[in-house]
Order: sequence, then structure tokens, then C-alpha cells
Amino acid sequence: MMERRELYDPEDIEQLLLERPFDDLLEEERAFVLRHLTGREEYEAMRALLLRVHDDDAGSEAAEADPDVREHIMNVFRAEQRPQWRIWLNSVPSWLLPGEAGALWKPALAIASLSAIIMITVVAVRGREDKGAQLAVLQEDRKEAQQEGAPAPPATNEPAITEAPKEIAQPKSIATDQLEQSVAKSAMKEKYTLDAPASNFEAGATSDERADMTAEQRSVAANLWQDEERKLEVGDSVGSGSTAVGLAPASHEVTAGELMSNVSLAAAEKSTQAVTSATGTPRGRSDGEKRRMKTDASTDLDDRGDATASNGKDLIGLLRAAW
Amino acid sequence: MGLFRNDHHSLSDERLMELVTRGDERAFGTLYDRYQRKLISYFSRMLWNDRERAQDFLQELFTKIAKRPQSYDPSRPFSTWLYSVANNMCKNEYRREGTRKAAVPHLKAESDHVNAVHGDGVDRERFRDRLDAELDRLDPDHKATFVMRYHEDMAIKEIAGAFGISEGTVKSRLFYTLKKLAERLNEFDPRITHITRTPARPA
Repeated sequence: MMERRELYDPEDIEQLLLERPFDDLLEEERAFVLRHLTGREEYEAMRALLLRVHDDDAGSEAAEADPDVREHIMNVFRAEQRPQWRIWLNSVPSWLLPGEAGALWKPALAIASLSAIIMITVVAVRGREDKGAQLAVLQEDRKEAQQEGAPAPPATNEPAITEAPKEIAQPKSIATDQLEQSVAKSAMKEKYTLDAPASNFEAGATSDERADMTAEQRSVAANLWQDEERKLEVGDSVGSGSTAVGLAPASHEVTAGELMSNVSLAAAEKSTQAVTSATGTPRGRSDGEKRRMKTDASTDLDDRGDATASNGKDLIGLLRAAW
Repeated sequence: MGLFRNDHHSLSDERLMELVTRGDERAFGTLYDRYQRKLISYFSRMLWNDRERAQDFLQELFTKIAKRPQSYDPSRPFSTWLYSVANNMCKNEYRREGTRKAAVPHLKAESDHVNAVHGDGVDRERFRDRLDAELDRLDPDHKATFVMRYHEDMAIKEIAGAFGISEGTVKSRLFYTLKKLAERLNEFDPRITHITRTPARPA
């Protein structure tokens, strides 16, 4: 009985009233009904009323409000609302994230289509840019090939003193050549001035040693710088075509032997001048005599042996330190 | 493009109300179209079959929604909330009237006898009048419960939500309302085939 009570509640009586008359009820159903109603008469009266209410409601047509009512409330709504662009913006999130899972396909499809269009556009634009870049690379390659095909300047055994002359071997404009020559000049000057550190020689003297150089050595170094400068100027006057020739002295690295010969020549000239002035012998010498003296100097240099060589080496070291 | 527009007719009431809160006019119109007939019927039954007054109440109800859509509580089903507001409007109207208004004041339920001919249009009309009159005699909440259940076809759970009461209370109300109405409208019992009609007594 307890179980049957739990199965039924007043709502079930309503269902029983709609479904079956009292005589068609099951025993347990009848027992349940009689717990709430007085008897068969009451059950049947309630059943009749309920059926009549249902029939009456089904037969009646649902009334519809006048159109004026709808128009009025829509006008009220419009008057209360914000600008349409805000409405559109506010509707974007709701469109992107609809509450129903089944409606997600629309924003997903729209976003996927838009993404595909953007990707296609980006790929097309990039393709055009790549083609342009490839064309530029091809053009540069052709230029380089043409430049490599031009005759190269004669190779020298000594390394260049400065970096500029290597570039000058290639055909360039006159302004570029002049710029590079000025660079070379400044480099040369730096090389030959006393304050500049030694460059192409072996590890030279320290600054202290340079300070200890005699006036004679300094004057020799200055004369060498002036000679080199004159050579550079000769190269300038020849023109751009011969810049390689004009700058040949700049690119020429003075070897130890050459320096020793130059120094000994300069020293010999001075000593000769001193002797001549003392003895009254005319100073002027012919070119041939000078050449002979130079050759003799170089020969003597070779024949003198270690003593002269050691003196020369010391002098070279000092000069290197100075330069 | 259809992909970028919401199909309002396929949206739920709660979703439409959310759009209305954001100012969507189409959503508001869709909600009105869905509920205007049901509410007209409800207001008519609750307000003594006065159709004009029922339309006024319908307009007043949706005007309230248009002006203050944020008053809707999204945690409740929209229909529950809507009928709750409608029921409160009717109760206020009853208070303003002061007394319960009988649909057919000159008739007395105990002494009337009618020809219980099943299917008669006149008989149907008379049954409605009598039913309305008897409902007016009931407590407003009992009447509203009966109307919501048997005329608006609302579920027990919805009625409970509209009144803010338990489902058991709704079932109990319905049972005893039906029992009382059955006693008072027994002349419409189809089992009574031959009933002698007596003239109505003036009130």
C-alpha cells in the first residue's frame, strides 16, 4: 500500500480523470482515487468537467490582438533603443558565440570562408613580391658576372699597403678614384709619420724608441714620405685610367733591403756634401756619378759585411718604430 | 548574406530576450508575435472576458518589457517570468476593482438548470459563462492556477515558477479547484440527460 501511495499523487488523479471512467480503473487506482474523493459520483463529475473544459478550449479560436497594439509597442521600443551601429556591434558577440551548440556552424563557416579569402590574397601578394625579388637578384648576378669578365689588374707579390688600391683595380668613376687616392695618401702619411705605429715592417720600436730617434733619422723619414707623395701626385695627373699605375707606389711595400739602400744613399749624399763643403770641391755631381755612388753603396753594402748590416738593421728598426 | 544574420524564429525565448536587452528590434517583435495570442486569451479570462481591457493589458505588459528589458531575470524561463508579470497585473486590477466581478451577475449557480444537450453551441456559450462566473468566485491565485493549467496548457513546473510556489502546492490547488467547480457545475454533467429548465431568478 505504501508503495502504491508513492506511485500516485494528485496530478495522477488528473491524468486518470482524463484517461478512464471510474469503472475502467484498476483496483489499486480505484483505491487511490477513493482516498482523495468521496466516491464514484464525485470522480465522474470531475471527469465530466475536465473533459468539457478541454473540449471548450480546443474548440475556441485563439484571439489575436489588433495590429495597432503591435505598432504601438514597436514604436516604444525604437524610442528606447540606442543607435543601430551599437546594436550591430552588440550583436557580433552573440552571433559569434550563439547559445545553442547547433547554431555554431554558421559563424564557423563564415570565419573559415573569410580566413580562406585572406590567405589566398596574402599568398598571391607574396608571390608577386618574391618574383620581384628574384628578378632583382638575377640582375645583380648578371652585373657581377659582367664585372668579373672585365680584365683584372696585374697581380703584385707584395701585399697592398692599404685596402683601397685593391678595389681600384676594378673600373670605377673618377670621383671614386680620387676619394680612394686621398684615403691612400692619408694612409701613407700615417704610415710615414713619426707618431704612427709601425705597420708593414716587423714589430717595430716602441714609442720611447721613436722618441729617441735622431734628427737625421727623422729627416730621412720625412724625405721618404715626400717622395711617396710626389709619386702619388704623378699618378693623379695621369688620370683614372692609370690609377693603378699612379698608385703603384702606394701599393708597393718597401722592403728592408730597399729601405737600407735608400737610407745609406741618403747618408752617403749627406756625407759627401759635408766633405765637399769642407774641401771646396764643387758639390754638383752628375747623374752618372750619383748612380755609380748608389750602386757602389749597394755593392759596398753587400761587401761590408756584418758591421754595416747591423747598423742598417738598427736604423731600420728605428725607422719602423717612427713610422 | 544569410550566414551573417540571426534567424530569430529558431531562437529560444531566453535568447530572444537577451537580444532584446541589447536593443534588437526584430527579437522584440518575434517575442510579441509568439505570445500575443496566449496573453490575450489569458487576460480575457482573467479580466471578465473584457477583450478591450485584455488588449490594454497586453500593450501595457510589452511596453514594460520595451522600456525595461533588463528587469527580466535570465535565470528563470521567459514564459514563467512573463506569466508572473501578467498575473501580478491582474491581481493589481482586482484590487483596484475592490470586489470580485461576476461575469453574469444575474444568474445563480444553485438554481439554474439547462438543457444538457452535448454539442449545442448555446450550451457551450452558457457553460463558458458559468465557468467564468464560478472562477471569479474563487481566490485570484486559484483562478489563475486553473486558467494557466487548463486554458494556457502550462506545465505544473511552469505554474509553480510563475507563482513562486512548490509543485505540490500547484497540484493541490488544481485538485481542490476542480473538485469545487465540479460540484457547482454539475448541471453540465452529460450524464444528466433530462433536466427541466426553470426560469432564472433575478438577483
